[in-house]
Amino acid sequence: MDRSAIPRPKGDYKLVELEGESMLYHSGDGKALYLNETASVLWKLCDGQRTVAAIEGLLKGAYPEAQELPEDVDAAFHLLIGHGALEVP
Amino acid sequence: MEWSGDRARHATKLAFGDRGSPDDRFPDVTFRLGTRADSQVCTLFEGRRCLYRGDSVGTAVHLLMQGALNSLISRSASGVVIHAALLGRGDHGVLLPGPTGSGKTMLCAWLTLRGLTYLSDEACYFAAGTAPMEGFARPLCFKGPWVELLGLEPVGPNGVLRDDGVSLVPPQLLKAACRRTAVMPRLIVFPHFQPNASFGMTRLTPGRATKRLLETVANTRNLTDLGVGQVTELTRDVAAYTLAYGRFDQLDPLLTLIASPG
Repeated sequence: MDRSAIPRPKGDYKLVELEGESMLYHSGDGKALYLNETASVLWKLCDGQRTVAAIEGLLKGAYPEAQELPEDVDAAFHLLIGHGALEVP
Repeated sequence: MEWSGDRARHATKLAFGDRGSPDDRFPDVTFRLGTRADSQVCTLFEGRRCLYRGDSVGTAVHLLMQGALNSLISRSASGVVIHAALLGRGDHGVLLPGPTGSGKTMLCAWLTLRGLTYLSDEACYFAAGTAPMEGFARPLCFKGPWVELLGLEPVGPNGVLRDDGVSLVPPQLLKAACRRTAVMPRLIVFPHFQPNASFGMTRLTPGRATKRLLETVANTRNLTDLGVGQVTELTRDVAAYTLAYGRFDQLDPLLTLIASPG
């Protein structure tokens, strides 16, 4: 993934949070996507201005002890992009 | 609902029972089902639009019930309509949400044969997550064989409409008690039937239950927050499970769960 790219959330997704769990709900097709903690935080950091590198940096700063963070972040980006919730120009 | 012809009258009574429509209200939608004594042709209209013309009354009635439900869904803006079967045990409700083909109707029928009351095999409505739930009452609609799977004696022609692989069965024929009043949901079960599959029942977290239930909301576009508020309110308070099964004799744990207090 191009780390200088700016991921943008699609407008028709709604983040739903319930007792520590998160999901994205798409109003168009009625499908919901369950998010793990990394994907949930990553979604909130995708504000249409931060680059992939900036988001990775923020997550590394927030979870300095997490050994598998790069893989988790990569998987979360692929999940969100794969489901069409994020677009990367 | 308007009809002409004996077969149409019989089919309409099967679909909607003896309920009359209030005379003092202008109808939101009018369906017309017509059959003729001198031919097999059957027609179904919604307003001026022809929904069906052919020789299968069963197909026409199936389309009629689907059209009536779609009409209700399109006008429901004050609460959530979900694709789910609904049963009652006393004042408590057991909700079986799922898409077409997940086995809602068959499980619903099996549970009514074990004493639960029948509210709907297809759609339910609730205004808030803590509010009583109503069922869209209609005959049970089976696709494919059902008499053998439910272990019933062969059912005579009276009362059942069989056509094009679809059977419309009044719940009374399954000796099921029917209920028109609402119930308070106490248990949510997402069924998945696959012939000869192993049994599995797993408790869902509120988040997982919300994800699955949101995918069954039928009137999303009419709701300001897409129904998220009502659904999360419901899944926060009501226990939810997934259920995988391949035979009915595996389902004792489900009956135990339904019968358990609290």
